[in-house]
Amino acid sequence: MKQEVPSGFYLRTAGEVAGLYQPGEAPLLFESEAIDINSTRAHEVGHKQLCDTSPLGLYLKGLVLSVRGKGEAEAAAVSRLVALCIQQCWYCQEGYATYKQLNYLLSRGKVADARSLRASLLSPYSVALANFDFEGFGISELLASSEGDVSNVRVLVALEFAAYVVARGAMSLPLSQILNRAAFDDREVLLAVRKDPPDLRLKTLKAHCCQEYIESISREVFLAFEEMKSVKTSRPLDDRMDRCASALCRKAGVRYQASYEVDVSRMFSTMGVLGVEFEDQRDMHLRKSLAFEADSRVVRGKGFVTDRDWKDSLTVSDTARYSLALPVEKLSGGKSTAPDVVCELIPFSSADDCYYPSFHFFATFGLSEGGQEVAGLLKLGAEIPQAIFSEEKPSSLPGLVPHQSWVWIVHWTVFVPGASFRLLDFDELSSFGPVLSPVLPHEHVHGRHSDTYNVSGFHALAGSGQDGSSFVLERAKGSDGVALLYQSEDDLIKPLFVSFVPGIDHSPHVTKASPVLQRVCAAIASGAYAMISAQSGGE
Amino acid sequence: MRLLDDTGLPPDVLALLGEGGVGGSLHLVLRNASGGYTAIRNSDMDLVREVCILTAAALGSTLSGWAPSAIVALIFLFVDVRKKGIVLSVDQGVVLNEIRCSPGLSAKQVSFGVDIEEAVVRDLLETLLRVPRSNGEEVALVKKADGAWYPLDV
Repeated sequence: MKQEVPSGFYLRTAGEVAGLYQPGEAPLLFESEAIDINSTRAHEVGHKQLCDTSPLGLYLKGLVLSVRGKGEAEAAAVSRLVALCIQQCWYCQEGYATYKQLNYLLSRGKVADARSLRASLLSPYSVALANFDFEGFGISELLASSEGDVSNVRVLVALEFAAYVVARGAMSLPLSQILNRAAFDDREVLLAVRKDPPDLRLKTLKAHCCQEYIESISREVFLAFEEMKSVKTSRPLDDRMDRCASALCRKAGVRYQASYEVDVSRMFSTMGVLGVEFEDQRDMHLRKSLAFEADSRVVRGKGFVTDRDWKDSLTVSDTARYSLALPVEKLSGGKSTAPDVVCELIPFSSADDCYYPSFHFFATFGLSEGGQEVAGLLKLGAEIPQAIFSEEKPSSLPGLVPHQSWVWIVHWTVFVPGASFRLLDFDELSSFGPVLSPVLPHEHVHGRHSDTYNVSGFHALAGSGQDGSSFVLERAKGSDGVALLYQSEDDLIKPLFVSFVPGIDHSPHVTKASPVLQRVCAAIASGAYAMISAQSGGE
Repeated sequence: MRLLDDTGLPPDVLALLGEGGVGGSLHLVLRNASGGYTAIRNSDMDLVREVCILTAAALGSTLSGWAPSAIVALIFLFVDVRKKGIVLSVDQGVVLNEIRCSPGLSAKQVSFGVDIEEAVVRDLLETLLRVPRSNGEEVALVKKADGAWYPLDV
């Protein structure tokens, strides 16, 4: 079976994926040595802008969001549909996003970085970018500009909006007649897009982008900026850009429809998008609007891969997030980087102070399948909005999973539970670990633990009747922080969790525990071990 | 890239097609915008060139109004079947591509999607039921069930 790759707009370089925007989701940014990550953010935000302000973009968002909670087959069908729509607007989207990225670097005086970026672009991005090479304001001329020239920054701002208006015009083909219906067929939408593809609309619009056009956009932008100072929302800017895009399309003989003509609530409801709340960004306070605009997730790593051992032995907290995981042998013949690993600590519930680890694997890979290769990556789950990072590597995992780097991510609800000291402790720590030995939960952890073992300064959860054959514990070396216990009964491995609180005496005070756990707690208190392995005869 | 420059394909299609020089015996990597890519060996270069020339010839007719990425997807399809010894006309490819993109379409729906008369589409679909390979063997690229057409892997 061919591996499904998440459909979306990928920012690719010669050797990696640097960013991904899936309409409706926050942009995903991958740390890269070659590309300034903030410029990648600008690139992905470019995609987001076009999807937020065009009927086609809104439809794409609806498609991606409609996948939530659906089965694999249905999700795969939607993903293919998204890919088919993206085929029709790839040049428009990537051209504008790349222009915005270049512009970001130039407007911050990073001319050398901008030159380097342009030189390293893959040929499709280079060709896409050329669609925004405006008469009188060529990209080459901009790259030759001097650094820190304020007047030049004003030109850059105007040019970015000029590019935006062209791209917005290209993306804004009329679809509301279909999308506003009580029911519509996705194929009907696809055909409408194919009959009037944004990539061809772009060429037509580009032909009408003379110097006079750039100057008129410039005027509109700076008038809008003045208006925004008093209203504190972006509506004046959006209204003006909408009018500019509409006017450009009219001049070029291209049909235009504004995004607000689509009844988004109705369309999402028709498409089965549930649990999504709407807020018109145009009426948000500028501060909030900018934060919304910049919302993105940074991933240290590229794509994902798991090998068979891990897949078999590691049961993840949410299988849907790992639906793309592949046995490594399937990648033979393909090209893949060593996976980076992210460990996320997820609390059992808002009332508990205990967590279970969830591992994420990231690597770029090429899957060889009958001569066809598919490049792909795993999207990080949307459940990690805040994070604390540590670059230190857990000591035992490298042997099992070759990797380039480790990142710890603490799920932000860690800070919510009643035990408020955790908020302070974790906050003060800012980084912790290496913590865990190989964590091999055999089954889904949640709900499998019924007894709580309270120990001074920390507590642990353990499953009832878990007096099995052995415990293994590895404590955070040289620090407190978080540690994890797990118990092996035959082949069944059940994780137990212990949290350490810095500065608090960890002397064992087990109110209810198996002998093994007591022994473990004593060892924790003594701090005299790195790893314990014990046999137990039962409670 | 340069190997395909004279095929008549426009620069935006060529840019999406070529990533060039992978090393070893690989000569070219064809890549489409949605992330799929196919390694092309030296021995297949003639085949790829032929497909590109065939596709370029239809840019002013059947493929008029197609987005570059969609043209690249079609080229992928042609390369895919050619490597299996199957030669398709552009119209056959366009119809097959439509069925692959949306399995279960009727001939009428395909006709609407590809802007080819329904009667012609019916004929084209019938031809795809028995397509000769280069070794003389006949294979089916599609199947029909209750008036709906589905793609078949060969």
